[in-house]
Amino acid sequence: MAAELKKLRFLPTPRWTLVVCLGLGAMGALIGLFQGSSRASTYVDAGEVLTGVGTIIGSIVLGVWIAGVEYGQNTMRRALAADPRRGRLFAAKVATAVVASLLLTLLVWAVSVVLLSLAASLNDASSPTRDLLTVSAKSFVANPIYAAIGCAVALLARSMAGGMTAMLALVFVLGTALTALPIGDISLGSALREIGRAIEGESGQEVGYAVRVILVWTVILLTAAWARFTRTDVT
Amino acid sequence: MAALAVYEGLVKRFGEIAAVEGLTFEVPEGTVFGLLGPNGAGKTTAIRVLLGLAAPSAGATWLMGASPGTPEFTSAVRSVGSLIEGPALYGRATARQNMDIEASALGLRQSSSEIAGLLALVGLADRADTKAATFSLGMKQRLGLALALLGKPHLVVLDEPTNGLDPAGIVEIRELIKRLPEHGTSALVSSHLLGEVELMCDRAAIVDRGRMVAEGTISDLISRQGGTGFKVVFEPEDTERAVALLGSRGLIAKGSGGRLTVTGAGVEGAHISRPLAQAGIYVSELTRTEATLEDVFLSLTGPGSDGR
Repeated sequence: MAAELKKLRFLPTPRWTLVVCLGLGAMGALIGLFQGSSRASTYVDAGEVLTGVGTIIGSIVLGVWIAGVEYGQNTMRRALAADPRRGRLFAAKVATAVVASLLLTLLVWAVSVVLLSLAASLNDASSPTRDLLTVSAKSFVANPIYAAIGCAVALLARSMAGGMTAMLALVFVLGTALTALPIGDISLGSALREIGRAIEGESGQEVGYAVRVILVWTVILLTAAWARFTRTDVT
Repeated sequence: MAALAVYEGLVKRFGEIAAVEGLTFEVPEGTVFGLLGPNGAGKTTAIRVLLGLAAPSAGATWLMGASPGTPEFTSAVRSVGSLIEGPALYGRATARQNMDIEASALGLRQSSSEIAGLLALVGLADRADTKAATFSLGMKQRLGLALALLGKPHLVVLDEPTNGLDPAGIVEIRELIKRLPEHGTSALVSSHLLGEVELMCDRAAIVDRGRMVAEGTISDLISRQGGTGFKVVFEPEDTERAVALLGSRGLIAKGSGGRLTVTGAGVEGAHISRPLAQAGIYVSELTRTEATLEDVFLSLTGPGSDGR
């Protein structure tokens, strides 16, 4: 895992992902500030849209990148020629994706909460901090899952671009398509939103069902990626 | 001498196509071993199987006595450096950072001085903090070689290590590889640059269309081609008669149009000119030639060879 963490430090994509996500968080605060709203919900909504969605995309990018970079640079064979334990490398990559996503989420939400609270106080709105922290908790649940699945999808696609396309299609297209099937909502996005609503304290949600849907998606994709990565030739 | 890498009847197929078919040879410790073959001969596939990057269809390979998939194989691979199909680098990281990442992957703790030393060894000391993406192919190749040498490996597996290097760079890297056994590192070098292999390797295996067609020390391989030979020139209409006459005296004569290359054990000029003169074939030119690895290679893998 030390080598994976060094790649996070030395290569530019993680830094740029963090910068863009921080930029989105700052943009949310600026919008709230110039809108001049005195309602706390304005700042919470801005945080939820810009920081919340921003960190989801950031986590997907990091998850896909951590696996995809090896295919983009043709370095997977080098990584495995240094240590042939493929299961171990797979676990290191998924763990790094989860850790990177959590760090990104923590940093971006910390900055966003401070800036949004500051913007609210400058407009004499009541403090949105408590609600922002509640909203941010949803990101801490969803983002590592998106990052882990992103890593798995890139390992399945064996390509950075292919992994990114497949992941965006999975999250933003397949999710919508699945909700149209008459078999109940089995999309990953819907299940994560269900968990989010439970975190916000909305009653009557099917949390148990949502957890099962998330587990099934995660286990299927990680198992498929593990099987492909550990049992086939490395090109 | 113990064998660091062993191939035993290795077969690797991709669908119906056999990339490697029945490869058997050993890389002894303390040598620079050349794996020679034309493009598509199966050299890189053979290396990928040895390092556990691809599974064999049949047969087996051993690295330091360990076969892929066993717990011993992990420590075996960690004592092997490799440069496969060109240098695999993180382009947006510097040369030093690339080395640092590799050191971590290998589980090396104290490595900063070794990294600096290796970058100096391959001539990249002044470019250590330059991003690898800005390097020329030759510089990338040098960095790839430095990565392969990290951790003082027992064996380095180098696939076309002089690709992209300028003539001075080729000489420099050749001399570096040649000296590796003095520092406890043996080498398996795959190449189609015959002159390079002849100058840097102690032994070689020649592979063609996935099959091994010859193996031995470089001098053995060259002597199999006849070692010393002669180029003989005479009237074109005497060619068939000359070939038959020299053949009857145990010499091998190849050629056409009054120009033959004659080889044979202990052959001297008089062994050729005298019988030809006695038969009324008058030689206008007789030149001594030395066989090279290229002659061996072309005779074994060129058009007309059966790939064996």
